[in-house]
Amino acid sequence: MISKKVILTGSFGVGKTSLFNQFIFKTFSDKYLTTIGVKVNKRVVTIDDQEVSILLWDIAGEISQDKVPNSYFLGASAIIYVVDLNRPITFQNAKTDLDHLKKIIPDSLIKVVGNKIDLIEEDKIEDLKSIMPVPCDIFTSAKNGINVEDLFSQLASELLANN
Amino acid sequence: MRSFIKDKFIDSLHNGMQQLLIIDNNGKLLHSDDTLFKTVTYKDKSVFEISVFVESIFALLKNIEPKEIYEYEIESDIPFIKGLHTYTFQKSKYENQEVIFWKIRDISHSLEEIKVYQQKYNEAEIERHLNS
Ligand SMILES: Nc1nc2c(ncn2[C@@H]2O[C@H](COP(=O)(O)OP(=O)(O)OP(=O)(O)O)[C@@H](O)[C@H]2O)c(=O)[nH]1
Ligand SMILES: [Mg+2]
Repeated sequence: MISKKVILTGSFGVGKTSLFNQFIFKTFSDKYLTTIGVKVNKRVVTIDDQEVSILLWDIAGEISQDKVPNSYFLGASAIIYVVDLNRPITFQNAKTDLDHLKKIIPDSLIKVVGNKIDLIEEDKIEDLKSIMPVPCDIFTSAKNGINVEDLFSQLASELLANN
Repeated sequence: MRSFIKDKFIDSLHNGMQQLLIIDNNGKLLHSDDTLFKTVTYKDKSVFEISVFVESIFALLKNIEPKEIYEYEIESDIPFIKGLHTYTFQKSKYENQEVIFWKIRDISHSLEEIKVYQQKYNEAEIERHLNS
């Protein structure tokens, strides 16, 4: 079975730990408890009879990614860059952040995730899309699980295809 | 932890008991001084059984340059030790073979203080974002 390091990153409070907990444990809490040290856990995802062990990293959020030590990203096969759809400031730096990340690990997959979709009214989504400096690959809700499984299955398929 | 908080607590991050583990290029545990936890049941086994974290970056560790040191702060992923630790990794030599030195330093003494500090700071910022 192949194993891949995948890292959740983005600003603080955007829902990285909540996505981690939803994917690994299928749990969610409304209480905000900021992440201090890296947390790592793994889950096996099966795609068409092929298994991928996702070694998932959850780190402390930073308003810009150049504040995260480069060594945290090294060895990652994929980066999940999470923004909070309810706080536009969390995607303001997306373009520079992604450029920065591509420099550190050019071969890694990057997924831009717009989280907390449950807080956005349907008719506001188009407006939001129009002000985003980079498009989101997927909209999720760690709270009610919307698209969380899809996010990781898509990622697993692409990791398998790239392998 | 956030970078500005790390700067503030940098001294205390270098205090605390430390354990040295020596692993070979296949991830097998060769030696441990057992300062923080006993490894007798893991001798000659893979350290991946102790730490998912090490498993997740092992391919990287095998290829670090001799003088490089990689350091991470970890909320324990080792079942028998709780709290906050720094893991540092460096290439070295042991009994005539190339090995990886894995040092685990217990910095749990600072965990509560760091948590309160970062939590307060982030919450205030989020509040400000939502009200602007
Ligand atoms: N409504 C809603 N709330 C969410 C969602 N995801 C996370 N939250 C809430 O947002 C807050 C922050 O979530 P975390 O997962 O702790 O955020 P984080 O990105 O890990 O934050 P740091 O560890 O500080 O970087 C918490 O109160 C969560 O309950 C979501 O999809 N919908
Ligand atoms: Mg977190």
